[in-house]
This record gives sequence, C-alpha cells and structure tokens, in this order.
Amino acid sequence: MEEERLKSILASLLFAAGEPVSLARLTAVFDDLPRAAVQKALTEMASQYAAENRGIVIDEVAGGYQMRTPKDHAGYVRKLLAARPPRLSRPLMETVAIIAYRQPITRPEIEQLRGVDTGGVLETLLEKRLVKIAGRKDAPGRPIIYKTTDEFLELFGLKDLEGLPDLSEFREIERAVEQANTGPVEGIETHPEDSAATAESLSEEPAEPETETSDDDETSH
Amino acid sequence: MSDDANTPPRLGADAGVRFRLPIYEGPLDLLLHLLKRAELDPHEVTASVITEQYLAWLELLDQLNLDVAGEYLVMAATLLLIKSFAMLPHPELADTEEAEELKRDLVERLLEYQRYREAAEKLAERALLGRDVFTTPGETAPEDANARQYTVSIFDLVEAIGAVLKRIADKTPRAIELRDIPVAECIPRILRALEGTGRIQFAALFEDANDRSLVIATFMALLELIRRREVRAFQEVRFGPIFLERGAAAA
Repeated sequence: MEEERLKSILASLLFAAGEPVSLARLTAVFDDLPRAAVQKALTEMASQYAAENRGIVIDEVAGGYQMRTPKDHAGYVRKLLAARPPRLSRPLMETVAIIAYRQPITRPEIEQLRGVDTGGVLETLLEKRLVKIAGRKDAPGRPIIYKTTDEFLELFGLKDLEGLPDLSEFREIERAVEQANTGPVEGIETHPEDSAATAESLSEEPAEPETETSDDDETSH
Repeated sequence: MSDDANTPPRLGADAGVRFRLPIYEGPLDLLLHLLKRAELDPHEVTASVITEQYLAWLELLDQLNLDVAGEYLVMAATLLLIKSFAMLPHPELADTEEAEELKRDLVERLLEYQRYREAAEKLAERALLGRDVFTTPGETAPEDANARQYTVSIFDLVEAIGAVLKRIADKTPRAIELRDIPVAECIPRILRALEGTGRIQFAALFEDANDRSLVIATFMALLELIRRREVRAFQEVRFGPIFLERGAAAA
C-alpha cells in the first residue's frame, strides 16, 4: 500500500476510535501489512502533525495511539464544548499517585503513607475508573489490592507506568531501601516486604499489558 | 498576628471575625505545613516549636468543635513522647534508642509523604484529558462485534449485586423477615430466564425481586452456575452493563 494512503487511513481510524488504539489493533485492520510498517507510518504522522501545527496531535497514550487536540488550543476547545474539566482534589491526587507508584497496594498501606483514612477517596477513584480492584493480597485478612487503570493513563496522557514523573528517582529510593534491608536490620522498621513488592511490581508492570483480561479470567471461573 | 498560620487564630475577643481554616489532609500534611512555615526541614520535625504549634492547632480544632480525627491525636502523642525523652534530666535513664527510632520513623514517613505529594502535583500539572487536551468521543461499539467481549470478574458481579441490594433496601419495609430460600431452587429459575432470549442483562434477573434474601439466594445460585460454566457473564463495553448467557458447559 502506498505510504500516503496508509497514513490517511490511519488518520481515519484514530479519528473514529477516539480512545487509544493499540498498534496490534491498528495492524489487524489491514490484510497484509507488517506491524513495523504501521508503526513507522504512525511515528511519521505524529511528527508531521506536530511540525505542521495541524490542530491535532497523535499521542502515545495508555499503550495505544490517540488523536488529541494540542494543549495550546485548550481554551478554545473548552469554550466550544463548555466542558467541565475533571475535578481532582488534592487528597484524590495524592491517593492516585500513591497507587500509581506503589501498585498493587492495599488500603491500609495507602493510609499508612497518607496518615489519614482513605475510604471515601478510594471510592471516588473507583467510581471515576481511575483505579480498579485487582484481587486480594495473600496476607492476613486478605485485603483488597488496588491498581490504576488504562483510564488513569489516558487522563494523564501517559504511555505507560514508566512514563510517571520521576519514576527513576522513586526506584532509586526503593532500591536503596531494599539494599538497606538485605543487611542485618536492627531497630529501623522499613517494611522490607513492602518495598520489595513495589520494586517487583514496577519492573513487571510494562511487561504484562494484558493484565486486565487475564485477571478477569482467573477470578470468574 | 503577623502570621496566622504559625499561631492559630485565637477565638473569643472578637468572636464575630470568621477565620478561614486551611484544610489539612491529616497530621502529616499539617506537620509539613508547619515545617514549611517555620522554614524547617522534615528532619527537624521534633523541634519543640513544631510540637507546640501542632498542639495549638489541635486545641483550635477542638475549640471550633471540629472533629479531631484519631490519627491527629496519635501523632500528638508521638511528638510528646519524643519530647519527653529529650527532656529527661538524666539522658542515660532514657531509652534514647527508642526515642531515636520514633524520630527516624516519623521523619521517614514525612519524607515519603512529601515525595508522593510532589508526585501528585506533577501529575496534576500534566496535560489532562478533558481539561487541557481533548479527543473525539469515538464510537463505543466493541472493537470486534462478535469476538470482543470482556470477561466479568467476581468483583464486577459483587459490585452489581451491591447496586441491586441498595435499590431494594430503599423499597422494602423495615420489618425483619427471615426467609430461608434454598439456593438450589433459584438455579432453574435463572436457567429458565436465559432460555428463550439467549442473553439477559444481569440487572434484569433481579428486576422484580424486592426481597433481600431472594436476591442473595439468586446471586449465590448465579455464582454457582458461573463456576460450573453453565452460565457466562460478560460485558460488551468495559464497565458497561453485565450480560448473562448460557455457558460452555450448557451446550
């Protein structure tokens, strides 16, 4: 297929879909195009759209590609749509940040970090679909564990969890804590199992994008 | 009063004046605020000026008849305990190790909390969908009309039954009614409901049930059928309505 035609079709697909569409889904639309060709076209489109100030950008978001309006046009678009921006209170932001960085995490762990009751905020986050229940922790009381959703990535324009601000810094801290824990620990209580689980989950997360479906399969049978 | 956040406003003399209280999200948040005002580092959280201001805030909240949550009091106790260790005339009598440990724990918690708070601020500054950037609403049709269905998890089901129970709680009389409905009796009813139409919405199964025990028994029966794969629960749109149909074992 001619390259320009491919790009033009891809533009239609992204426009019609609205939500982020994965490379796999986009490739599946064409009969015999290699993934790499579609990816190349998308990457070129993204830089073309940006360079030509087209009024639409192509962003990599939540594991897929999505057409969005550029940030500098926000004022105009908002006026047209009379859109009410999402309300994100500080407790809500704090809680979702903690879940994003530390997932999978239980409510007592979140409350330990924030120092306050978090039940109401968690409920709001679940309602807004920014957070989901990802099962139960194999610990006394089998507490529910929480994870962030694709909608979370979409809202904040993140490609994946690796894209979270300053994740590297957090990781270094986690690593330092972990190292401190491998030595003989006396006195300092640093919750060794917590930090180990976090480091593990952070490194595992991007490797399993299909968590959602597999989780569901396990739990429903 | 030059700095009303350092010294809590005093009530009484001019009680007609209304104070706007900054809302603090828990003791850690309040401590960070006090430290910032005093231009101190979280490592200096045990400075007596911070303890004093913290206690003054609690008193103020009390005067205002605002509920002081338990966690604020726990923090006050910790601060006072650390202070009391420092004030013992004979340091050798004090369990300095314990005091050090308490302090270290507190500093660590503050630093960690501060990190997440900063991360939250950075997240909120990003280009937010619906605020800074926009996209097309898109067609909500499933990606592949036949194949693309989302398996429903037990949590989705529990959430859905929670909604049903909430609905009937509003209509049922407050009388306590003990009825023992065998789960086994509900199974044929579910299967019958699925017979003709092929698929029904989860909520439809409970449409005319307005008895709590009947709803719960039906739900237990449904879980059993799903476990045996005689019934399948799925969604066409993620987070959309839950549908039920005969499962693989039924064929």
